[in-house]
Amino acid sequence: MSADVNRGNRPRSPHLQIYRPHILMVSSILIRITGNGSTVGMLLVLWWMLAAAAGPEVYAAHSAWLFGWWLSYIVWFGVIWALWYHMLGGIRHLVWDEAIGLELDTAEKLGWAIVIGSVIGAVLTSVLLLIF
Amino acid sequence: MSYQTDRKRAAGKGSLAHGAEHQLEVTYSSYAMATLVVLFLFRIAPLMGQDYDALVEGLTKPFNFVIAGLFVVSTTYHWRFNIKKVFEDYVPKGFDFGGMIVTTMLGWFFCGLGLFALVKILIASMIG
Repeated sequence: MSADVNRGNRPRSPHLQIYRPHILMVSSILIRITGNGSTVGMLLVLWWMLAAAAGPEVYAAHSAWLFGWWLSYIVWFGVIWALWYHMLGGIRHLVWDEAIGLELDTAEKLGWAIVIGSVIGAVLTSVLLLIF
Repeated sequence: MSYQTDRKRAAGKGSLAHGAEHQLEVTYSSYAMATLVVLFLFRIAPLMGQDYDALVEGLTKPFNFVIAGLFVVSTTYHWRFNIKKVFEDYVPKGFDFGGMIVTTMLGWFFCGLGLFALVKILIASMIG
């Protein structure tokens, strides 16, 4: 039996016009935004790999685009933050799948933890990558 | 009393009669990604932006090469399943099915592209 999902009439998730913003809503929305950010990162990594596979001259030309100017630093920092946020949010989801941390108070703390943790992780990773 | 496993009893249920399998596929790839993202950030990302010879030498080290390959496979697999969710939630009915087919094919294409690039870099390093 196929499921009757009736997608034509149901409201779009996550009902921004109904509920006031709170940390669980914001952290959930950020999971989707950082998922899209990670998609950009995936495409950039593929670009980098293909440029390297094409040989030294092609790699040098594309490397200047990928790493050699101010906007690339901003984009890569965004990708690194998106990766950290999406990973920590995913780990939170795996924890919730085990029915752990579902109490409202704990869930809100987890929401703040992934926001703060992702910023710290992204800054530390970026600094380490710039140093080494 | 049912002798079926929990997984078998859940199979075929949920959204589009595939929700239970989708949940498991995303869960398994999430466990892989949680490990591979950290390894990628600390083993492969430092190679990005380096000159060509240093990049090839670093990327073709056995451990790094395996990490990069697994990262490509796992990322495109995870992407393929989660992009379905985006289509279900945000794309109007009528466009969603075709979109899901296109993104599924794109997922396989990106995976093949990444693995092709890695193998080509490895062969180039062996030839010199």
